[in-house]
Amino acid sequence: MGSSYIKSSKQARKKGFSANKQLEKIKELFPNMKVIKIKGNLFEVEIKLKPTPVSKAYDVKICFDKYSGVDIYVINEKLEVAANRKTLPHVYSHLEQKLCLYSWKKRQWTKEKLISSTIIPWASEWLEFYELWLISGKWLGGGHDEYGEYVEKKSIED
Amino acid sequence: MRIEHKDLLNRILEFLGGELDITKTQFESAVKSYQALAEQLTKDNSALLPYKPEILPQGSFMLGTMVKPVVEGSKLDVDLVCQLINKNASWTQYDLKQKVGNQIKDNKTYEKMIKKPEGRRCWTLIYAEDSNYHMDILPCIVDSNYNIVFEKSFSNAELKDADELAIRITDREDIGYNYTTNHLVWLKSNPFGYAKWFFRRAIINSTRFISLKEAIEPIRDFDKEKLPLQRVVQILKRHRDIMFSENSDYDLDHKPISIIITTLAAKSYDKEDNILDALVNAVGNMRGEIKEKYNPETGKIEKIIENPVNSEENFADKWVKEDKKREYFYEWLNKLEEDIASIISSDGIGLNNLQKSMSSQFGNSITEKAFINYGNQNRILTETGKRKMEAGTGLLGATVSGPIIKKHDFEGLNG
Repeated sequence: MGSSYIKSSKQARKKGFSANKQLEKIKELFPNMKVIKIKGNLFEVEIKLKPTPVSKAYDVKICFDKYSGVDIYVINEKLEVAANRKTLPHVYSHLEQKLCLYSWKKRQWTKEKLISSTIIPWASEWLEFYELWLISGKWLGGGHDEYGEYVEKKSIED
Repeated sequence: MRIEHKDLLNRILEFLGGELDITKTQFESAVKSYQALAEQLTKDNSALLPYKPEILPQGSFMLGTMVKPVVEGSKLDVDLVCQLINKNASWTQYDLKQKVGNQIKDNKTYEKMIKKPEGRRCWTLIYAEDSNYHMDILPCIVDSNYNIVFEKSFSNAELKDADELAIRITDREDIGYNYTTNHLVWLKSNPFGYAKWFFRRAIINSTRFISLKEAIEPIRDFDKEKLPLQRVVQILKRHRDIMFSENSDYDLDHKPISIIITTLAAKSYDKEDNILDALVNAVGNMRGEIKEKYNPETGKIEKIIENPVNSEENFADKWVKEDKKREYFYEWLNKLEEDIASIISSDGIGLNNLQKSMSSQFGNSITEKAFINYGNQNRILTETGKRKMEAGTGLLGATVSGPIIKKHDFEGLNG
């Protein structure tokens, strides 16, 4: 009996959340979300995020596919770039404005985690730190070092 | 305005205020310098010795409202008094000024540093490049024995005893400069009475009462948290310094003076416990604190900014003869009101645009640092599990209702 319990739990974890479950949870958090596409194991929705009262409101598209994972885009506007930088920070694609929000290696997001309590708050943070990045070109949100500044610092200290 | 919006602006202003402080090194080096000067004045051979000379800070250094200069590396002014409890009966104003000057110049190092020609009321010492300040030393005699008053906390007694803190100073333009030996008819000044008034205005319920003695203590804790009124005065002075900077078209001799800004802000301040409310209310009420009085001699209405500890003194007395001073002041106040209003109406403009607007008011370098501190603090809040995201809006904060932001690392193509 014990062994069968373990087996089914393992299976559930392996399977991850269904597209329906993920969508339901996003709708719970953002009742105003716009559904762009729902089809079987995948969906595309659009929500508005305004990370601070001073910040602008941004349209964010969430694309989920149970097999390939989740992608996040800032849409409906071309994001500015800081005066001293050439491309957006922490993105997979500058042109697509596809955001890089977590570490794969550290498994900070997996299919067993809800988009609503991970990816969406992280996207809002990305937008906040993006506006601050526009000021000086410095990324204050932590994570991997975009500009090799740690390396520079280290070599100075050495 | 949402409470979160207020909190955000308040945090930015707190950080901005922190950037306006002179550095701890500068502060400590200034304190050391005036302690050394005090030693010189109390040397065994000093003619001043019987009158117990003391060096005490006054002005913004005592009020805690000193601001970093706009151009980094330019000199700070540290205002000091050299205070005697009495004098030789035959000394005139000239004599007192010279006795103090001679005792300073008795030291060869100070002799080289002293500014020539001497000031109208002060001696000025110019310190070497790396010190970044000069010191104005105001020779004076106390009106009465007020050490007792010094000991009193700001909490007790009314301001009526402020007059006991008055001092008598020398003034080269006074007609009796070379003649009058009775110091009780010399020009009166009351920097310590003013400080007492200022701290009484500044102290809020939540702060412990400090004594005037503590405020002028040579060894003070630099890191002590500033009161909202002190921060507001610093912010207003910085706004003035940016508007009337070296590369503006203004004649800088006529820019609004610190004592007017400090007095109006302190009169307008209503014990708000945060910088934003304090700033908004102070700026909103400053105009109304300027009184008007008909002058029968000129037939004109004059502006009055009364010295709170000497009702006969009008800090705006120069406005009568120098129109530019009054015009500049009102130009500054108009701009200040507009600028503060623009900070308040920053909903949805973008953090970067708020920074841009504030940097034109307070200077880019310190504003940028304030926003960097703000960003770093937010990152730490997330890292320590103290930030949430509001459902429906995406608003981030410690007090909103929604999921806690889990720790994560922003990655990128390069990593």
